[in-house]
Formats: sequence, C-alpha cells, structure tokens
Amino acid sequence: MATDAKLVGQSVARREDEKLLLGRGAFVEDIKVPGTQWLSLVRSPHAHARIRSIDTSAALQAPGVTAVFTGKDIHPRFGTNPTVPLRFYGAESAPYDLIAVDKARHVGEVVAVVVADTRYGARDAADLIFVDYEPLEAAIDVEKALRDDAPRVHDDRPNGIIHWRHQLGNVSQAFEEAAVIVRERIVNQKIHGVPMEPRAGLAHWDPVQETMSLWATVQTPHALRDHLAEILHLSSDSVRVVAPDVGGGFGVKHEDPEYALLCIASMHLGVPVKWVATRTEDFLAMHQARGKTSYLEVSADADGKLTGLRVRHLHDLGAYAKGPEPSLSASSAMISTGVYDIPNVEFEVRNGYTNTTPQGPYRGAGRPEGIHLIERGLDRLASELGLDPTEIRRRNYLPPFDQPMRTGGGDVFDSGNYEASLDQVMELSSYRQLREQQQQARAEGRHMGIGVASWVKTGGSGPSPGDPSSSRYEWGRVRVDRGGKVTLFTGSSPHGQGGETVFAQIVADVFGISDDDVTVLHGDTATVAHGVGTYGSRALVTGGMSAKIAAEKVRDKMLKLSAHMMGCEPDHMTLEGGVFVCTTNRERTLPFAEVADASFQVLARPADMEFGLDEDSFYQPSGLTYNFGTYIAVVEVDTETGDVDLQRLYTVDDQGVIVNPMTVVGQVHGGATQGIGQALYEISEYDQTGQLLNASLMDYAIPTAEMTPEFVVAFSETPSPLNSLGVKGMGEGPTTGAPSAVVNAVVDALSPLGVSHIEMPLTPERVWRAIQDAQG
Amino acid sequence: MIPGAFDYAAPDTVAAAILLLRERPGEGKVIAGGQSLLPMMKLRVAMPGLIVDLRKTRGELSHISNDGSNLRIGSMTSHAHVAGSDVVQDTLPVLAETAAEIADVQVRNLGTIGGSIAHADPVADYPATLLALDAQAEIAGLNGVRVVSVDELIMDAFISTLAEDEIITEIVIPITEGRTGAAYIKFANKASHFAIVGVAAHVVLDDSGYLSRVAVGITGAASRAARATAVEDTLRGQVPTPDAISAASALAADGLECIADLHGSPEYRQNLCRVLTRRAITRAVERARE
Repeated sequence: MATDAKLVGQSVARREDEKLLLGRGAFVEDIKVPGTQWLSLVRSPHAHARIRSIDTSAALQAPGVTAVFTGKDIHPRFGTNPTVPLRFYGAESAPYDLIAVDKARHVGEVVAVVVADTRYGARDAADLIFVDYEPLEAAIDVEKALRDDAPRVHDDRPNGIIHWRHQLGNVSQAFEEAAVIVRERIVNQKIHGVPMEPRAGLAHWDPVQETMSLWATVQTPHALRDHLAEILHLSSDSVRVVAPDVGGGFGVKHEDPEYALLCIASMHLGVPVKWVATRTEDFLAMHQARGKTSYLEVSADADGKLTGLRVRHLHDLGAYAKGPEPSLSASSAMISTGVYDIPNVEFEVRNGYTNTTPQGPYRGAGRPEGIHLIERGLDRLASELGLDPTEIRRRNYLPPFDQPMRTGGGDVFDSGNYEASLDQVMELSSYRQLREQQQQARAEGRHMGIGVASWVKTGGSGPSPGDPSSSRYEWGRVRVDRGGKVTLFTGSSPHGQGGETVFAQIVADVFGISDDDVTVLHGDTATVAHGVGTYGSRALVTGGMSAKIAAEKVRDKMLKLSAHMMGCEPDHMTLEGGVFVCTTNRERTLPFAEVADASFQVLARPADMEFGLDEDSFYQPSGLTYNFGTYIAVVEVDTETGDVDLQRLYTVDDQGVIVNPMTVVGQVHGGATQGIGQALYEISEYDQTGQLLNASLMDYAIPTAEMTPEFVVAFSETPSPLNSLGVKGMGEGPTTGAPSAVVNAVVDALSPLGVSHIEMPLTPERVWRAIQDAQG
Repeated sequence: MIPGAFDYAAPDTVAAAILLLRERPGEGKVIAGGQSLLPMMKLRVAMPGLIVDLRKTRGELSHISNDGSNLRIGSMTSHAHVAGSDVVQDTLPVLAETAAEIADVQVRNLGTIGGSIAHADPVADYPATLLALDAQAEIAGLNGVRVVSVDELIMDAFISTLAEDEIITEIVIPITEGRTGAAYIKFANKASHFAIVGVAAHVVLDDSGYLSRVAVGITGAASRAARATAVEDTLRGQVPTPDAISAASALAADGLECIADLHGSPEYRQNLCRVLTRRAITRAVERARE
C-alpha cells in the first residue's frame, strides 16, 4: 500500500468509469422499491393564465389512480417553495408556490399532480384533468417586460426586481476623451443545460419511523435535504436524500418543486412514489440560463488602451427568482471587465420577471455573458483601430499578480498571468502562420476566420457574495479503520467530474499510501453528515481542501500515536510512504495498519488520546478562485449557405495546480463543447405568446461529436494563493471562453464582407442574413 | 414520452396485415421500423388504436435486386442495407448516398424505405432522390397490387395516397444506361439531421456532351418533395457549363411554396434550393463525365 510517488499531478485513471462504461451504473430510474407508484404532472399549456377551476373527478375515477392534488389542496400545509431566496441585494422576490394556485406563470408550470399504480396510468389520467384557464397577455421579452405598461407576471408587484449599480471613475468623461467608442446591443440567448439523464426522483415515506428517503438526480443532496425538511416540517435528520449515479448536472439539477411534490405524495399515500421527467418536461420546466440583453459601450485611446466600459444588463429571471439567479446578473456584469485594466467602469443591472421558465445557473453561471461583452467589444475596437486582436488584448491585460487584487469590475481575483496565456496559445496555434493561411484562403475566395478570446471564471466557493446567507463551506471526514484502510466522506458529491478519483489522490498523498486504499463516499446524506455540493467550479477547491485538512488531522494523530508507541519524540516522527519512521533512529518503523489498529487499543494509546482515527473539516475558503485562459478558434464559413465549419479550437487553461491532467483535459473538451453549443447551435425559442417552440432534441440542437472541432489543449499553472493545494476551480472556464472565440472567428472570417457582429447562436440562416445585410 | 394505450399485432404476411387493417378502420397504423411513428406516439401526436408491425414480413419485403432494367428494393429494406448494398452501388449509387445521409446509425438500422415514403415527411431524404430517379412504388391491397409513381404516392406533408388498408411492398427504380451521374446534397437541421433542404440531381450526357436528361428532386423546402421542372427545362439539351448550371439553378425555387420553421425562413430555403441545386447538378455532371 505504500508509495513514494506523489499522486497529485498524475493522470490516475478515473475509478468512476468502468461501471458506467459497462452499464452497471445505478441512476434513479434503476432503483426499484416494491410497491412503488408513479407520479405524473399536469403542466400549464399557457404562459400566463388565471386558473378559474380544476376538475379532477374524471382522473380520480381512472383505473389505478390513487391520488390527485392541486395547488389549493397542498398550499395550506406545505406553503411555498423555499428555493426562492426572498432577499437579494435588499429586494424581496415573489413567492413560488410548489403548484400554481391562482395563476400559471409559464408554460410547463405544475398545476396538478396525479399518482397511479403504473407510469402509463398516471400519464393517461393526467389527460383527464380539466383545468379552466383564463389566458392573460404574457410578458415574454425581458426588455419589454421591464416597461411600465407590460403585463405583470406577479399581480402585486412590478416585473422589475433588483436594480444594481456599480461605478468606478468617470465613464462619461472617458467617453468624451476617447479616440474610439464601440456601442452594441448584445443578446446572450436563453439556453438549456440538457444533462443526458433527465430529472428523476423516488420518494419513500416511512410512516413508522416518520422519515423521508428521496433518491434524486441532483448536484446538492444536502441542500435538497434541508430544503425538503423545511417544506415537510421535519428535522433535517428525518430526511435522507441520496444522489446515486447522476447523469450530468451542469448547474441545472437543484432543488426543484417536483421533488417536494414526490415527498408530499409519498407521505399522503404511505407508499414509494417515483417520477422520471420526459425530455420535453425538462425543456419546459427545468431552469434555463443566460437570457440577458445587454447594452455595451466601450472606449479606447488611440493606442488601443481601454479607457471606459459601460454595461447595461437586462436579465430575464423567468417567472420566478430561483436559487442564486438574481445575484448572478450582478456577477455577470462584474466579470465583464474581463482580464483587463479598465480605469472607468459603470454597470447597471436590472432583473425582470417574464412569463417564461425560471432561469438559474448553468455551467458558467453569468460569467460567459459578461466575458462575451468585453471580448466582442475588444474585437470591434481592434477593427476600428486597425490592430490585431491579440495586440489590443496584450495592451490591456492586468499585469501578472500572485496575491488577491480587486478589479475594476469589483471582483477580487486571486492570481493571474494573462499575457503569458496569450503567448502560449499563440505559440500552440502557430498564430502568425494561421494569419498567413488566412491571407492565402482569402486569395482563393475562401472565408477563413481566426478568433481570439481571453477569459476568467469565478470558482471555489458557494453562491455569490450578494447572498450573505449562502453556505460557503464544504465538509469532509476521513476515517481509518483498524486494517489501515482509509475512507473519505465528502459533501462535494461528484457527478461526472472525476471527484472520486481526484479526492482519493489528495487523501492518499497526505498519508503516502496508494489511492487504491482510499474509498470515497458521497451523495447520501445518511452516510455523509454535512455538505454543500458540486457546482460553481467549487468541488476541488472546497471539497478537496476539506478532504486534505481532515486527512491531515488524522495523520497528525497517527504521528503522535506512533511516537508514543515507539518512544520517539513526536517532533521526530515522520510518515514516509505509508510507514511511520522515527528520524532519530531510522531503524525503528511502524507500518500504517499497525498504528491504525493501535488507535483502538486501550494500552497502546497515550492516556489523553481518544480512541479511533476519525476527523472532519468544515473548510471555509477565504476568497474565490479565478481560473483563466486564452482560446483561439479557427473557422471556415460557407458564405452561400451561412454554414460555419469550426475546424480547430486551441485552448490554454490555467486552473492553478493540476491534480489530475487527464480529468482537466476532459473538462476542457466537455466545457468547450457546451460553449460551442451556445455560440453556434443552441437557443430557447419562445414565440410572443410564450410557447417554447423547440422543447425537444429534434428541434433544439446540442453539439454531437461530429459537430465538435479538433481540440488542441494546453495548460499553464499559476497557483492560487488561497489554499494549500494551490488549486482553482476549472470546469466552467471552457464554457466561458469558447463562445467568444468562436463568434470572433466567424466575424473575422466575414469582416471583408462588411460583417461586424452576429448574435448567438450563429445558425446558418443568421450568418447568411448577416452577409446579406452587410452586402446591402 | 409515454404513449397512449394501443393494441399490437405482428402478422407473418402482408396479406394478414392488410386484413388486420381492414378489420379496424380508422384505428390501424402500420409500423415499418418505427423511427418516425414512435416519436410521434411518445409525444401523443399520434395515438393509433392498433399497431400492425411488419417486422415478421422482412422475408417477403426486405430485399434488393437488379432485374436488368430496374433496381427493386423491398419496402422493409433498412436504410443501412441500402447504404451498404453492392447492388445499389453498382446500379444507382446515389440511392446509397441518400440512405447514408438519413439521421444516424440507429435510425438507419431500423428505418425502412417503405416506411419513409408512406410517412410522407416533407423533410425526409429519400423523396428527393426517388423523384429525380422516376421511382415507382408497388402497393398491395385487398384487390391485389397497384403501381404508382412515388410522385403520385406522396400528396402533401404527412399525407400519402395510400388507402388505410394498403401496404407498400416494393420500390422500383429504373436504371439508366450510358454516361449518367447523380448526386444528393443535403443541408441538415443541426438538431434532428432532417433536411432543411436536400437536392438530388440525376443527369445523362449524350455522346456530344449535351444533357439528354436532367432531373432535380428537392426535399425539405416545401410541404412535399417536388421536381424542379424550371431548372430541368432550362438545362435539357444544353452543355452543362458552370454558367449554364448556375443560370438554371437560379430557378430552383420557382413554383415552390417554401415553408417557414425554426430552422429556416422561406427566403433562406429558396437560397438553399438554388445553391444546393447548382452543387448537386455540378457533382452529377462530374460523375457522368468520369
């Protein structure tokens, strides 16, 4: 079991993969409990409608139906959904009922629940529930929804919520003195997370113990536990939430109302109740993301030095303010200064309710939108000033720094070295040769484009600083059994990121043992007492550190115990490759397992030492980490059809110290692919009545393998000064950087035709139209 | 994605299938691979009372042969089978090219040529090529077998002239001799991989290099696949120079009522018709000259 080689930094094979590749994973739908009944949901077909009455009588008569309930039935007892933060930046958000009571506020909102003994029976009975709706005019577009005469989503309040501003220096004066100003209205379109496994839950109420068990496909089992305890009027320890194998999260799998409804149904009937969303249900009712209309103004002097930035962000919350979403609009604006030194900054952020599916975080969580503004702005300025896109960036980067520093946007970055990242990606891509190839292509009538984007992404903590009530810790517990086997219990429940592998590497290194001797348990609140979860590029930073600290506490106790056992001075004990050595007499050693066993023996221990080896850590990070990078995309555009051929994406990511190089390459591939999806393919298309027009994968395009480019991936490592691992978050960086690189490349390809901007997604028709418009 | 209740039968013969359909008028739906029907049933867009599955008739209906003047393809022949068939490759490779463009591997393994035509999806691939090749369909019913052109079989979006107790048994495609070439070029919807517009061109060159035949089938653009007759009439008898092809292809959308959906406006589809027609004819001519 002993090993001298450090595991951190090695591409240890992912221990998660074998069972998944062999089809032996256990997802919620795979979990069978005898006597389970099925739940089906009646969802509003209207974006905005008063509910006059609901007739459930036919459904109640249908074969196999055991229960039907509506918002009115459960409202008195179970109230509203505490997922909704009531206070953000001093604003109070509208309540979010678990089931709509008087009014449906988006297509897909739950208006009634049916339970039957089979899945088909429940679905058939849902069609028998008659809801008498009075359709109302809907507020769909956020910009229109924020006008005074717009239909109100919530009758008792205007649609606008949270009006946040930030100011540094004097932007108006900067604009007056600027050599060049670029102004553009930019839409970061609404998109979906689309995890492969749709949402699913299985609730099992034990009427004897009065405890609730829920298997659910979520990223944050502990948060869901606490949320359900509040709704169900139970103690947290009477609720057990298990996130078994989870088929992707990407930010969209959190405390949705459907889980509470499952629990309420199970409590009511005293039987297990299951629900598995259809893909269309997820499109209609799982939260969507991005959804911002922004007005960008950015200025530079004659040398291309940025002098001022003004961003007005209109953020679409959807029908309810869900999770940390309202604060993410401010976070999004804050990061729009990017990795640049901008002396004068002005932000104005408005959030608006609309009659669309609520928005929430999705891989990137506000930051891709902010980065897209500045990265588009820089390319526009470069074009006005006749500068190469790499040159204008080089003239504006923040200088290298290794201690926390406040940016013009208001973020506190931990460390960065941005120009080096540009140099590295230019070398990786042979940038000068690419430009020569582009000249050649243009001479041949081909439309090749090269796009550059530098980016930065928040990571390593809980929700935003705008939400002071948020939990910003992570918990880990390390236990060593009498045979010397180590178990880590972590509150960061991974679901595809490789956390089991990576956490085992960290813990094994603390003891100098093989990672094969470290078991990692997670995802079950009955096994893991505390936790926050995996989201926001936080698991490695917070989960990794809590694991490391808990392991170090155990190691220190073992050092003390081994010193006592050998009669060695405690200061002279070391743990070398899993063996305890007394440095004053190196002949004397104790194997790891022997010390572990001794911790449970009466006579072997010092009198003041407690039994066992079992320590935990609530790790609280002192600040956020900021991973960064620079990407270069190479495209060729078919100008007759508007089709974009994204040929290569060169990526340089810096996420501090790399624990497992293979897993970070995977994060780049996956994250960049989702960013490419936003750039080229994805959009949540609503019509003016609020119908979602592409609520299936037949109409909503996500990139498949054949739609991804050749990835040329490289890394740099600028350690974070905030934690002893030197790590930063990283999973969301590629999703943040890829969209702008791709869009900049397409605009670069078409600039000889007079195209200066195209809105995402760059679908063939949009590209074709941009060319037509530019050609007049 | 949970269909409504339905009865299911998998008869052993076409004749038995026809009788079953006859017994349940207004309720029956033939399934011939299910790659279009099942998604519609899962969305409850289609809720047939009886599914008549043709899977046990593959012995009768899944085959590809060359009778000397025609390529004959049984209606239950899968797209993958057509795409990989040597007989198709030797006679009408454009059909294999078309089949290989349909959807993805799973769909191609299960979806069938007869099912595709009967479904009359306006964005399906096969109709463009089958129209350009003057293909015919043999249809079995209670009163025996009738033969109609695929052009007559397809009426409008999702509507065919098949009676509800008729089953397509075979697709018959004339094999052209001489200097002939064909091509299918598709511009796919990125989500479903259906055609936004797909164009098939089939040409025959005479000994002097003039076009003795030019046929262009367009799918995806309008509510049903159609021949681009204005293009054909302009080019027929001409030498297919790039300029001549371009000029004729500019007429590709003439007479088409292009549809609007999320994936393309009418104007964009008209543009694709013109661009893809030019590219398809150009490629077909290159192949004819090889």
